[in-house]
Amino acid sequence: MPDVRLVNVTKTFEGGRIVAVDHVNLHVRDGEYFCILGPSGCGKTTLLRLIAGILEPDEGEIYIGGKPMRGVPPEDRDIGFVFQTFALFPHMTAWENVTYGPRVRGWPEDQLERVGREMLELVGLYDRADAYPHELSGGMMQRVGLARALATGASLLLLDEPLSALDAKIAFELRYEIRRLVKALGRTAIHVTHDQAEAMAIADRIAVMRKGRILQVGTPQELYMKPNSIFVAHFVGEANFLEGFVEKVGEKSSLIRLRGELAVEVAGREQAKGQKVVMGIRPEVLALETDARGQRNALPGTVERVMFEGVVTRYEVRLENDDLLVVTEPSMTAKPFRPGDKVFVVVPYEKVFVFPYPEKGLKEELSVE
Amino acid sequence: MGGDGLRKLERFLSKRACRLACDIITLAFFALVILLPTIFLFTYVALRWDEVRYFVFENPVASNMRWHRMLKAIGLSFEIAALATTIDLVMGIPVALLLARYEFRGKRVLDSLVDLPLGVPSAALGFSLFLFWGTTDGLDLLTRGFWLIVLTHVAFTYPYIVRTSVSVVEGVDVTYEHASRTLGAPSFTTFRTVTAPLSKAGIVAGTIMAFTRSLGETGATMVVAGIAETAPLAIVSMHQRRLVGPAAFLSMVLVLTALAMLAVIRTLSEKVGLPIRKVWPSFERKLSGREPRLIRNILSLSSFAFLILIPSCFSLPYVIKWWSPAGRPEKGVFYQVFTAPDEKWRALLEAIMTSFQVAALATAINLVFGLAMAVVIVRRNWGRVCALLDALTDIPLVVPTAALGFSVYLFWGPRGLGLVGTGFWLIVLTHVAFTYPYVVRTMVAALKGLDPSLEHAARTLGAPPFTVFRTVVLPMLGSGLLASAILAFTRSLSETGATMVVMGTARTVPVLVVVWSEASRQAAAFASVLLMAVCYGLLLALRYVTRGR
Repeated sequence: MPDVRLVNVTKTFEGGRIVAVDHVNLHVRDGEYFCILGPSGCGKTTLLRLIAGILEPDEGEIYIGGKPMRGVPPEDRDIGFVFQTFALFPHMTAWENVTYGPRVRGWPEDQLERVGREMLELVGLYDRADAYPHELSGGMMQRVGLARALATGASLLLLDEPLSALDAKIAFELRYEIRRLVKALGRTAIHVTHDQAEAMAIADRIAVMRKGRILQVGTPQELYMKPNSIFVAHFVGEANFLEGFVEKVGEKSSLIRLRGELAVEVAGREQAKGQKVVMGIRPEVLALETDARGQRNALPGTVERVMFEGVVTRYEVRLENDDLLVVTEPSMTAKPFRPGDKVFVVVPYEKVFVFPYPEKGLKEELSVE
Repeated sequence: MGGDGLRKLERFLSKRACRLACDIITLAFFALVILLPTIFLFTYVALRWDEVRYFVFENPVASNMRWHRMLKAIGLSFEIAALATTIDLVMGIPVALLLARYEFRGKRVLDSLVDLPLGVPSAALGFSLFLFWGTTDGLDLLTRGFWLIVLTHVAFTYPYIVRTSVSVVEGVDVTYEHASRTLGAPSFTTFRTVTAPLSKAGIVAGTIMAFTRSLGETGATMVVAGIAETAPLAIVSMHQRRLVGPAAFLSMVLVLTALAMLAVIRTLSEKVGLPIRKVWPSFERKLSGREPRLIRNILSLSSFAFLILIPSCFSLPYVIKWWSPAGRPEKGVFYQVFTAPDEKWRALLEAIMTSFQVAALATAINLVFGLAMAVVIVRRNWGRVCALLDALTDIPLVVPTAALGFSVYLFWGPRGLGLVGTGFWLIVLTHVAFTYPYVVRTMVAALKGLDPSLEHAARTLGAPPFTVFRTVVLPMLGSGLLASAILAFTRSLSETGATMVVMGTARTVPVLVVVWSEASRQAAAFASVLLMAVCYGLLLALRYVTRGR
């Protein structure tokens, strides 16, 4: 049973001009369902290919099950790989695809038959064993791809955006199925995705990656509740960002002055007095009120836009100081505000993230490119 | 965008009637100048069957000896073609894999060197190989005959195999190979069970192309054949002895057997797959190791260097060495070409003029009519007719050029329509016929690559069809047009077999190489080097142009 450890792994392309993976350290535990989450171009697919041995790192070392992998070709790493484009061999049937791994390893025929049948039954496609890939739907193809990757018994499964090429509904169903299978078979999985909802739903732990570096590793709850950076707060879930500076540091709380005359009191005292900061506030923790009496942190503003999105209704509120806040309320229970209504946005004292103002500016920090 | 008059003219040209007229002219040109002359041979044989039978089967003197000689010549041609393509496949595919899948220093140099035999006129190539293998200046290992012919054919068909293999392997998504590797297949097994089956169709197409080129080649073969006689050589020699009926008959038999053979190759390759279900893990693992791979690469690259590259270029050091040898200047290239009393340089100059005029004319004519034909094939919604035209366009590619030249001669010459006698204009007509497919092929591919919504956009903005064609389609075809022009031009410059049949008293440079290869090696070598420099230069230009896209 393997764990995967990356030590200072670096990979560059085009003679060092593009740094795809930048000194990454990571430990994926044995039996874990691990997600690597990041925007496209952040280096997450490169990282997965390095683990698979399709690429070799420029620097650093990768250990699978404690063994260093430098110079070990993909076929000797005992892994399964699931591709975004499925990569089912078009000249082979589903059956031939699934039994390809056992066959090239020279397994005896009866064992090969048994594994092929078992795997195709596991993904519910045994009756389509003789179909060629082009005769299958996208969801079916990826199920075959999964069965193929699992069939060799490899204890480490690598999944490269396995659901991105599928329709939303199919992807939604398949993501739970993949996790269920991996857990049932006791495998370790590393799943790369750009879809934070997908990662949150299925991962034991997530690493958030940006520009070749890993920003934070943690359980979905940790990332959501305690993002360690503006980017993580922005990319995992959703957040409003307001600029301000620390006016006063109390015993348990700090007072943060926004533009104009507005101020917000927040829990915690990590930032020094006078420091420029960015506050991150999730839209779902904000509440809209018509009356500010008895409320702490009630910021006056005007509803500018109302967007009904089904489960929630989204309000864009222009504060008096011209900052814009997005507030979401459950549609079924939301009060019916309309554009132009004067409201107060209530900011919960304990649920505000405070980050130091980034060196390169807020816009650069939020960019997902 | 031009003045009012131009706009009116283009609007007029866009009218339905005008377009119809254009299409009719295009099709008429295709039928009268390309298709009919190319296949006129068959009609001729049918019309003059008695004459053919008398000469071939029931001659009072020779009985059916000519028929036996023909069979022997055809057998030899097939034997050489089969052997040459097999050697090419073995030598070429590792190099193709190297070019398609690996990054290494000098890759671009290797990439352009592989094309060298394609750019070099085959007569010059054959002469170079003869100098290398068969003279005391070279290795002096082989005399003219079977094996020298095979080596020559290996050399000039090599680029066809490598070029097509590189492009099909590049077309196979590398992810399939990654999938196979992660499933536990070492690199050799991956190639055999995944890459090769997926690129089989393309490699077969390349093989067929190499095979047909080998079957029909004349120029180089003449230089290196000695007493051996392949089918195209037999056609030329019968033509020279005024045995028109038998020559026509042999051409026909050659074309028909070639077609039958191709059909067989095609069906066999579809039916017979590689054994993807069988695996020999330990053996294949050994083959995939670092050393076997290194050995394979070294072997294939060195065989390329020593069997193809160096022999092909050998006339260059030869010319330098023999430019003006000390003590015996009359044996030197300089004396032979420039100062000898027969003034070969005059003949060479004249041949160069002829070659370039023919090539330029044929290319220009084909650019106009070939482009029009490509438009008809790609843009007219005539259903089956378009597919049929597309297939018919390729016919001149299948007919060996000597047979094609002969057919064109029969059609236009004194025995057919009697409109054009042998000489310059008949050469032009022949070259138009066999370069036509190259132009149409490239144009069709380029047109299909264009996004039709761009044209729709131009139409919705108010441009009539002809204006759309001039302002949107033509500019985007630009480099494709140039590429096909250069291709047609070099093919025309280097052609020998057909030209020998139709040239009368006119001479082109490749023909001079063949003629001089007996009389004066020094002069032939000089002409070869000249021709090679021009053609390979044009080919490099072609690569530059198509890469710039």
